[in-house]
Amino acid sequence: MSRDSAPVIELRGIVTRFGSQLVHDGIDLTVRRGEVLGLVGGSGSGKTTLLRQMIGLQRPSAGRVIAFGEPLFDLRGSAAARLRQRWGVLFQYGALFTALTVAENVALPLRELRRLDEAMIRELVRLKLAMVGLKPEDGLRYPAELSGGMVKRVGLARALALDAELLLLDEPTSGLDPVASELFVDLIAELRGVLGLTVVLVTHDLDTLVDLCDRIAVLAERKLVVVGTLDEVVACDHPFIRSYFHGRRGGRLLDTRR
Amino acid sequence: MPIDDTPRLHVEAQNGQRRILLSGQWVLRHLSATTLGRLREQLAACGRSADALWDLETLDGLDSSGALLLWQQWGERRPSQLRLRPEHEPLLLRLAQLPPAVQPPRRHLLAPVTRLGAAVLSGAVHLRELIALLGQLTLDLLGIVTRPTRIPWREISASIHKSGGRALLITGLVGLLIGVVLSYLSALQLRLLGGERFIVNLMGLTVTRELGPMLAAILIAGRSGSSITAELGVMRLTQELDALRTLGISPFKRILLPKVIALALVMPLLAFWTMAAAIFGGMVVAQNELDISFGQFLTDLPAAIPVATYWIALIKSVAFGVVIGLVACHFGLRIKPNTESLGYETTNAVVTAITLVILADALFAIALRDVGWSE
Repeated sequence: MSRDSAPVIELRGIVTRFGSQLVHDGIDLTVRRGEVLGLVGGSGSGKTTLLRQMIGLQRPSAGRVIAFGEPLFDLRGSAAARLRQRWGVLFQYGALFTALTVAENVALPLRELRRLDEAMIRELVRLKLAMVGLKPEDGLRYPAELSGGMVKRVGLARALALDAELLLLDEPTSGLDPVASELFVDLIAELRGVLGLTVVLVTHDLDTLVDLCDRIAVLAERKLVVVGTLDEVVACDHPFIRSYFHGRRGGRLLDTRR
Repeated sequence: MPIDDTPRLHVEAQNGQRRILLSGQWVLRHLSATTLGRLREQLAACGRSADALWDLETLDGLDSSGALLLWQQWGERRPSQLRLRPEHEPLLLRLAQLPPAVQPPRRHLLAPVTRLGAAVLSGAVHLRELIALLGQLTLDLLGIVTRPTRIPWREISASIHKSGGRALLITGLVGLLIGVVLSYLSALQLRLLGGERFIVNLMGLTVTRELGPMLAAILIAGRSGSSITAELGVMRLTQELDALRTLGISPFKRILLPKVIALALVMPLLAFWTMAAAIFGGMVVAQNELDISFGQFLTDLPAAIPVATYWIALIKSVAFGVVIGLVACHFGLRIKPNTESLGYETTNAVVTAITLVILADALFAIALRDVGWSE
């Protein structure tokens, strides 16, 4: 089926301006089906902005975003709603609805479909919570009662509620301690294997990048400097990449990997 | 053959054995309400017959919703004869390992009684905490009064500007309109009785003794009380109050006390401003309806209002300001880190502040019933 081999997301000539400040200057990026793509760049380089543009939360000043073969910003109404159900997003701080319990948070996207009956929704919520390693009784708690790691897990369960094909993660391991962040990375890797997900993630964390990503896109000076496997990226001679991957921490990590 | 993603199943009979073939995309996206109903019916028709062979190898896609549909049909266990693609195996494994559901705690029969008791107790807790807060702020006030260099002038002045200066327009406008309405109604009655000149006494007394301080207090409770509660709540959520404490700065002295002091200073001023606006409204109506000129009105006014009335208004307003400030701070410190709590406590603060202001006004009215009447 040709449709399945089509790229999941294509960015063509993306330009982003905030007032007079130019953030992105002609970015082309293709997210292939089934891969894990990591987006890195310095603070303020517009990684999160790019992620938001991929899912239509923010319109670029110029350029096109094609999601699952359809022009994202030209779709209206039900077509746009159907497209939106094909991805799930984990926001940096979880963005859980604080007025709802954990189970209700995960159930919300399922309820909004208005197709499933309550019994099925309950079972699906139970399944998703188990998938991200939460106990059924955690479903009765409110977001305010959860630890940082659990908030991320619930956010992930909600992102996966509709069995999305594409998962977007904004700083999935930020604010987690090393152990929790390693567990979370393992969880994402496992789910990706089970569900055959395509994953795009924005991260600052080198470990996450090295452990999880098939390809890495490096954003610096308003452009994508390089897109490729870790080895290809490391081989690239750019000042940002040198300081990022060959700095004290990056160098140590790459050494242990070899 | 065109690609058809609709999830389907059909049953074949092969030498006495039934084979149930699944095809299409058994994923949530392709499970419309009608498809779901049809599949449920077909699955139910297949029954749980143990001898049937379930063939899932021809499936194009299976996600947790599709798998759950089958799983429920199978009575939550794997059928004895199952053909499956290896990539779908983990999904079924997960379903098999699903921990049992937990039931939310059942509502107790005596729940309404318990709720009533809890409400009374929480009222008592609020009262105790309010008194404790008042005590704490009084001690802090004594602390900074004995060391005048520690008085947080900047914070007090900022609060005065925020809850006083910026409230001039609204209190003035409301005062004016109430004055117009009140004197218009009185003018109609007084004309019947031929006592037109008493409009001055009527307006002067009601506005200065009761309406002015009350109107201003209710407006400020809604306007500044809510903003103080929300501000303190957010400061608590963003740990700004904790940060102050670690720097050795008492949030009571630096944040709460200036706001309460500012309200206590600003309330009498706003009350007199509201009174002036209301009396001006009354004057306009008196001139138009009863032919009492501004000059005559202003000449009669001092005689109509004994000086004690001003003192009562002054003391009442200070008390109202303190009540509004205390209540706003109290509820602000109770805000929990979720969006619902912010709205809930802010509403609580405003409702409680207005109620307490009216209650205090009634107490003042009873206590001072023999004070401040001329003759």
